[in-house]
Amino acid sequence: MAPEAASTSYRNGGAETVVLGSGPGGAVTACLLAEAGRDVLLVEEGPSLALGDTESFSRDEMRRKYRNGGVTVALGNPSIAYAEGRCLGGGSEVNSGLYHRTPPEVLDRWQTEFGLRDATEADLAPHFEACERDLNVSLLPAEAPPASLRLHSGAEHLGWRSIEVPRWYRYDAGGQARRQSMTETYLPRAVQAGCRIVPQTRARVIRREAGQFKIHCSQDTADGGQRQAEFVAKTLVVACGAVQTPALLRRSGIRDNIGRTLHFHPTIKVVARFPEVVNHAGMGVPVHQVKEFSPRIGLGCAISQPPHLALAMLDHPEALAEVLADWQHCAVYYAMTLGGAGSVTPLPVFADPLVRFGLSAGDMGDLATGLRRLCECLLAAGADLLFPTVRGLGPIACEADLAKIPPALSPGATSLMTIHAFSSCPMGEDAARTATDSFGRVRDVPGLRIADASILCSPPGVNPQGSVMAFARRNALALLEGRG
Amino acid sequence: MSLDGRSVVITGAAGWLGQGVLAALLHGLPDHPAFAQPPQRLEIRALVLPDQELPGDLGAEDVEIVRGDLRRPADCVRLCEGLEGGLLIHLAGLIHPGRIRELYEVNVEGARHVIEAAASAGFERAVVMSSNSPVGCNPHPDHLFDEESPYRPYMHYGRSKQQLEAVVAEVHAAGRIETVVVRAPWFYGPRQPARQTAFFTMIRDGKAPILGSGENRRSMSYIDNLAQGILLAATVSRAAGNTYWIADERPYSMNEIVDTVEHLLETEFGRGCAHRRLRLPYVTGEVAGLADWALQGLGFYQQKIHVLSEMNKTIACSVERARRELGYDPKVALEEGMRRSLRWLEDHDGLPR
Amino acid sequence: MTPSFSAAVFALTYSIVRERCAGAEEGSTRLLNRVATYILGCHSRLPDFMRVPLRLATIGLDGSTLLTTGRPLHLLSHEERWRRIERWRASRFSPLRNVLRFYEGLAVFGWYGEVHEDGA
Ligand SMILES: Cc1cc2nc3c(=O)[nH]c(=O)nc-3n(C[C@H](O)[C@H](O)[C@H](O)COP(=O)(O)OP(=O)(O)OC[C@H]3O[C@@H](n4cnc5c(N)ncnc54)[C@H](O)[C@@H]3O)c2cc1C
Repeated sequence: MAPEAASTSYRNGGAETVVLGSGPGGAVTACLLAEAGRDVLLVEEGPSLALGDTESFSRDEMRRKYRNGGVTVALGNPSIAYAEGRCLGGGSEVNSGLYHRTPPEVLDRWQTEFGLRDATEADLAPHFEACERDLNVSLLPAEAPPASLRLHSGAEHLGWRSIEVPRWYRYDAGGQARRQSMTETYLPRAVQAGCRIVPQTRARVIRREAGQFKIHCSQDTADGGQRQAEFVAKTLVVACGAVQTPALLRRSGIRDNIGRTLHFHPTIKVVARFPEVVNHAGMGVPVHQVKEFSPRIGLGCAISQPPHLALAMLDHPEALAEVLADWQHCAVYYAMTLGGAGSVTPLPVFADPLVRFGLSAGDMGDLATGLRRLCECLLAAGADLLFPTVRGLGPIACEADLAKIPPALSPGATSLMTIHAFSSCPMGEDAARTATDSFGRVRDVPGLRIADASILCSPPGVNPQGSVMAFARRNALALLEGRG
Repeated sequence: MSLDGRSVVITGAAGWLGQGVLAALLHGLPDHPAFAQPPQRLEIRALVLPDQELPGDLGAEDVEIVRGDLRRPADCVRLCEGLEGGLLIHLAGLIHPGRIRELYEVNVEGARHVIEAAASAGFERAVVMSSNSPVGCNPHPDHLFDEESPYRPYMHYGRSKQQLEAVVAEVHAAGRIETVVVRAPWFYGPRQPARQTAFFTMIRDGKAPILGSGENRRSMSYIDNLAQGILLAATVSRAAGNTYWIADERPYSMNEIVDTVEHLLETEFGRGCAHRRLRLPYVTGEVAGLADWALQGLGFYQQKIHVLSEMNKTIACSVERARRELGYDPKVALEEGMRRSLRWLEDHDGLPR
Repeated sequence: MTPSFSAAVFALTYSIVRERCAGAEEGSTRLLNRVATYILGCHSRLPDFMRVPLRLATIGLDGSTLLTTGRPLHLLSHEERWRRIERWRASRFSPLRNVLRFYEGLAVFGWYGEVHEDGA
């Protein structure tokens, strides 16, 4: 090894601070550090694409902006299909933009169970406010999509609490909406402040040598091949998302409480058919959520374009063609729970890590309860036929049919999915169960930090990106203040 | 775009398909309204090999004959000279060569010469004949190829046609001339060459080879359907730069083809048939394929083996795009096409007693 | 004659879409082929440790009909293929069900994506 490589001439081969991953966690971190005058290099595995380069929720978008084309699965009984972004901006480029602050009761639990300090509602308020400003978190300027309003009316009918969830969108004078993803917000700001971005570069393994980090990467070349690249850094911030961060760290020999406590919001879906039209081509993201049973169970409406409807009808093949012929009367709804736990294990030889997830009988009971609540709500909203993603269950057409839903769903017959992953490297002061301290500093590895969904101690019970950004901001400012 | 008053250059004019297209241009195509009447004031120039002749009914006085060989660039320049704004219909090609090398010399380099010559002479469009062979065989029996199906060329002939299509795409991309590729599978119909007669004789004598169940399907193109497709490719403006499959409405199974001919021979042409098939196990096709591959590897080509190796394959395409974009409407199907084919043979004393 | 991964994927796609989805009868060759190509693309992007097993499982299914019919699945008629597919997807052996579910999910998702994007 040439002696220069270990010196601090970083221009090409590294930076004072290297951030791995450009999702909400990495983008906020890189932006704040760069704006504070730090020398920052941001390394992103996925391609650099603009928000408008792909049509939202299309197959083309899945192919170009999702990890593994959107087909990733946590193995278990039942297995859970999950999805992650893999592009500049990470999940923020493909998601629905639904914003929540971390619920105060969740923060309280994190404090008592994980020893998380300096993270009360009041401590976090300025961070939430800043992110909300930066991303223009706001309510819809016009009426919500019909399928979304249906859910809301069902909840109102039953006297359940239901809200319109604000989103990070900007609306121009013509009412055109533009999602405030990372490539629209923090990333351009970071570049403006001097941050260098290296896309299509995957960190394979990190080594600590002579007081600094060496990051071994493989880089996509223009001709479709791969070449090796190496970067050095004094401070290394890992923000590769809740699955890839623990995979990278474990592959690099950093294992304490890392990758053993992956959590999801296991989600079950229902296709509902209504007598009236509730869906149309290009129907935007539904925004209503039923909060009556939060945080254990959340109900909402999902993307309901014909391909998504078809996928949700997989357990009812005999009715598929009929439902799709009538798709303007149909929409997809979901019940989201908190249960289960999983792990991320890097495999020898392979690049992709093995993800496993287990659900207890109690968790399957929660899913059954969630499903029942959702069906009740949709019937109250006037749906005349419901198809849950459970083989052999349904269709449900009336209150009496709800009795068909068993007290716990059968693992062999239930199809689950999620788009929310976190908690694989929890933060807090309880060294026995956390991977980092309360500010994302990895225990026993000076200079190494985690700044993504991995550090959320447990499932927040709400859409997580708001929490990811607030903690990333809090921890980046702490770093700048020298508290790390 | 109409053909009236156009200059048309046809290569391979003395061949089976060339005669079909010439006939369509000179006498019209009764099956399609746009071409029912022959175009007015048409100027036709035809490339004919030195030892070939056009049949008398394709009016020697209406067609200017240029003798030459595609392999000689100068012949191609002479062929296209002075016809600015003209239309090239490039049909000449080698299917059953003596030596493999000739496939590339004629099908790829020859085509390049004539398309280049047309572009340089300021032609507006070139319609170029390709075949099913660049995409190989269908992956399963009910599959159909479309224009987006990936290249999987069948042997050297397929590879030569794939290279031909690459040449065409290259010239089109350079913006020098509009091009349209027409891909056709087996064709049949009047004016067929002798090897087609041999096929009818085999059926009559009970020697038509059926490999395996005979349920594998083949797209076929009745010659006038194909001529219609070619004239549409030449005249529909949105066709520029595209590729189209042209064939009969649907593919036919091997059994259906043989049964249909047998039935016509007996009921309409008074030829008693043996009512047998030369049934061979499915693997015969595979063995023949291996032999063909080995021979081709050595640079040789054996027609019988090559044809046998294809007998158990499904080679079927969809004409949806041509229907949608060109208004292609194949009116003649297997039975009527074979009837016309047999009648032509009978009229020309070619149908064996 | 020999089992083939891509031929099997095409054959599965045609059969699943024909049986499950509306509108796959007339004028839909290009869409059917695009769906099959889409599925092959999805397979190539799968997590690397799943790619080879799924490929082998698919080739295995394709070859499983050799003993009884003398032909791989992809050379059987649609009706014969569909009988097997129905049997496999109802199997008690969950890995087998999962393989079929993978293809079924992508086939219907891909089909309605194609139909929808085509504005039909
Ligand atoms: C379809 C979908 C819809 C969603 N909807 C919402 C919503 O409405 N509201 C909400 O709050 N949340 C939503 N989420 C979740 C939200 O997007 C995530 O919680 C959030 O993106 C997590 O941010 P992150 O920074 O932890 O990781 P990510 O956003 O996953 O970013 C990680 C980045 O790191 C890169 N990376 C990974 N490994 C490496 C490596 N080895 N080297 C270099 N780079 C690497 C990845 O390519 C990726 O770009 C949704 C997610 C999805 C997939």
